[in-house]
Amino acid sequence: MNEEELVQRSRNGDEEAFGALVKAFKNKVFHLIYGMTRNEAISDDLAQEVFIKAFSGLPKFRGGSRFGTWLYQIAVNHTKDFLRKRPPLKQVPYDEPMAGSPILEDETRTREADAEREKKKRIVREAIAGLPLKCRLILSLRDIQGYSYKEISRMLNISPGTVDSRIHRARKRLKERIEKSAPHKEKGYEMS
Amino acid sequence: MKCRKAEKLILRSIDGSLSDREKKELQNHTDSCPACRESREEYAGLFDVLKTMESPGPKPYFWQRLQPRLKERQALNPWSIWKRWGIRAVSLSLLVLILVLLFTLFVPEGQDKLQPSEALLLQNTNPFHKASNLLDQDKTEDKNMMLIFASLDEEDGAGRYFP
Repeated sequence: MNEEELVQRSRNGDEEAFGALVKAFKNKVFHLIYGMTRNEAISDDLAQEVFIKAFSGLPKFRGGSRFGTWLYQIAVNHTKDFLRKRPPLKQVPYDEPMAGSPILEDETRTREADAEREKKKRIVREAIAGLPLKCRLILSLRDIQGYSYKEISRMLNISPGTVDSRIHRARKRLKERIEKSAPHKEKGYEMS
Repeated sequence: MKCRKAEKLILRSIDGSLSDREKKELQNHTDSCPACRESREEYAGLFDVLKTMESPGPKPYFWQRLQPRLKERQALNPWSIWKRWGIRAVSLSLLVLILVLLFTLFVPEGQDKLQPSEALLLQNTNPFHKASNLLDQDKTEDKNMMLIFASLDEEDGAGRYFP
């Protein structure tokens, strides 16, 4: 069954069809939200709310755009609303292991090289955290999650040209930010 | 090539979207420009780090957790309430209306049995007419005879006595 049929059936209240749409889009919606909040638990909860909103709003969806584009717009707007209303989040940075997880236990036994890699990651994480929302989001989608320009263009409803310029600007700002963090350099921080 | 353009090419090279000619141009520039060479190495190091930073995905049982929330929301959604009950109520009302109309149009009027009082009203007759005739008689014999015949009339429908 193709996307259009699934949307049509979901609009008529078919939960099974909507379940198939959720399965197809949950990762992208989550990543989009995570790029903005950088908090796993909140991103998961917001992603659920986005799908609830989408299900309730399906009768209004006339198919002028693709379902994914419409869904991503809901995700971006819902997350922006959330960030506006809530106080700043405690951001759990990218791939930072949770306390008590096996990863953390492994890392206690890590070698020097791993420690160095973690240090670099921490520096990059801190630099990303200090970037504006747009830069953070596009860097997260392109350079961390590896989405293509075309996919990002659809997700953010902007032209591939705009994706290109935003990514370049974000990468430049990230590098500048890392360079500005002088204490890291003094401690012998080198990216390459 | 200017350093500004070289930086753009360095950034694009991360995505692997440079043509052979652009790659060669960039290589020539970085060979002769230490600042751009350093910048290229820094970007390469930065993206090596970014690539290793895997982001998490949604928690397990996403759909299973979502389903009860959807049902809860559906129960509160005025559109779904209308969709479920409103449309049914309207169609049922229309059906009843159509049935009533059909009944009044096609079913012949039944011959209603009139009550005795209604019959008298329709006949426009005075129910005291018989009694008045009887009371109007001067002779007692005639009155008695009329009473006898009236009683017989009620019992077996025999003819009346008129003096």
